[in-house]
Amino acid sequence: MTTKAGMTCSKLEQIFNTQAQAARDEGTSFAREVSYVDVVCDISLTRIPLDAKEISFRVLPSPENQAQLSDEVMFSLILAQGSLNSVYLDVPFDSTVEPSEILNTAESAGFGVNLIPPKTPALDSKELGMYCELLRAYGAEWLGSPQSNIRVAPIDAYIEYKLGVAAGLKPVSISTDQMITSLYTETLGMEAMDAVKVVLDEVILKHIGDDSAFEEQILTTAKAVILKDRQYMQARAKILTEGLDQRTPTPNLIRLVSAHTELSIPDAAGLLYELKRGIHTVLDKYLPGPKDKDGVMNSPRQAAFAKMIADMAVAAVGGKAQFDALWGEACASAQVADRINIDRGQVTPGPAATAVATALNTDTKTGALALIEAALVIGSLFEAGGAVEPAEVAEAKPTQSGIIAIG
Amino acid sequence: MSKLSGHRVLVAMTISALAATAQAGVQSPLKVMESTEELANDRDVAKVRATLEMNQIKPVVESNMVQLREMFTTADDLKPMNELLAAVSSLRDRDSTNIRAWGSCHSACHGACHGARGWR
Repeated sequence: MTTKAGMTCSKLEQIFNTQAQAARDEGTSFAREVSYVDVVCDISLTRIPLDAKEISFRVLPSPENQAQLSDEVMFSLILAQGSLNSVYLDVPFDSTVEPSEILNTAESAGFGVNLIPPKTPALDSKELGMYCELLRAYGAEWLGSPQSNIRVAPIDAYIEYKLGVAAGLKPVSISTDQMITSLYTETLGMEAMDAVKVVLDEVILKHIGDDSAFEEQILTTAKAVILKDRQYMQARAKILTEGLDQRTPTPNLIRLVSAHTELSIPDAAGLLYELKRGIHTVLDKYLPGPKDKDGVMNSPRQAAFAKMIADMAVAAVGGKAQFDALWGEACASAQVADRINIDRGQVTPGPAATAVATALNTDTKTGALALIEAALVIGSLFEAGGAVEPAEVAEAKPTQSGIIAIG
Repeated sequence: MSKLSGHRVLVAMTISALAATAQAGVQSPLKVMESTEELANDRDVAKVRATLEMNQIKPVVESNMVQLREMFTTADDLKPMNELLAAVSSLRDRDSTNIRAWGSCHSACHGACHGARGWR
């Protein structure tokens, strides 16, 4: 982003007119990538340059009352706020406008505030002294307001730097923000910058505390982040538990895994889900293929791998006819086609389901549906290998309510 | 109580600093060993926790959550961070009947447009 400093509202209007002419005559388009800083409101702003990303206006006092903002600045702020996301008030070091007036105006619409230092001041200069007083006054006003929604530079940049240090970061510079660099680092000079840092430390010590306060804040925020994360996951675990049948294809296998591994339902679901995802991750890594327009990988090599496994199974039982017979018998025994009717209580689970339920110490319906889900999982591999067709579904039998299917 | 904890902008700056630290891959020496209940009952933590839901802070926290979570040593012995839970909010829109499509990005997108085909 480019920074342009020291413009007036009249000049911005000229820039807009030139750009608008170019856009009309030559079709030129302008990217919003320029930061106009320290704009002086010689008139009320009427046009915003087409390339403006952010604007900051220099605070000017009202001619009638030096403690209040001028009308030109107020009207310029209102226009800019309606058009741009980032609008700032630049408070010069010798401003006579009351800090509370500036901060209230900024709070009312979410403008940021920049406290502008004098240019390369001498260490013992009156200008630097005035600037330090300005920092103290704004620091007290801003940091004393817990409901504040705005930022006040350079105090905020320095606090963020100290927070980063407290968190373990070792930044090479106080800020990487180009506006901060332009307004402070390049304007003040190194010696004056050190003097300003001393004042900022003093303000921060008075209104926030020493380094331990920053460490405490980092820890408190870290705890809040961890709490948010845990509450988020707990809410999702509850959703998954309550909607297991609607949200997973193998709810009864998940129930069995949960019962036999002492995992909670969400963790058992996660175990099966991540096992499947893990297999696909490995397959996609070693046997990648082209992706279609929907981003779905369609790998002939993975299909060949599945076919190899299916062919092995077919050969092991003596040929395709024997395999079809065996698979058909297994599906019939597991009542795969009747999965909807069993789930809705319209078909009674058969002997295989009863045996599974007894062996796994669960109720017959869960055992029956878990067996079907396991058959579908295995079937999906044979299906990918071309050995079997997708599992059929028997016609749903009507229930007393007359509802045939849900979803 | 920290003077910073109630100040929205300063909480935002703390999150910004933490996100930058997390993105830099720095492992914090800080440990969060309290249980969820203990954290929820801590007034300072609860205050910041509420502020994390405010606009401009919330998206930064949520987009950096994985890095932020891994930045601190915690007492979590649970495994609720599994991928399924992270994705569960959109699972309703997927084809939950198809084991082959379970967790597939395609079925998530397709389901979002065309609805699920849950048979239960």
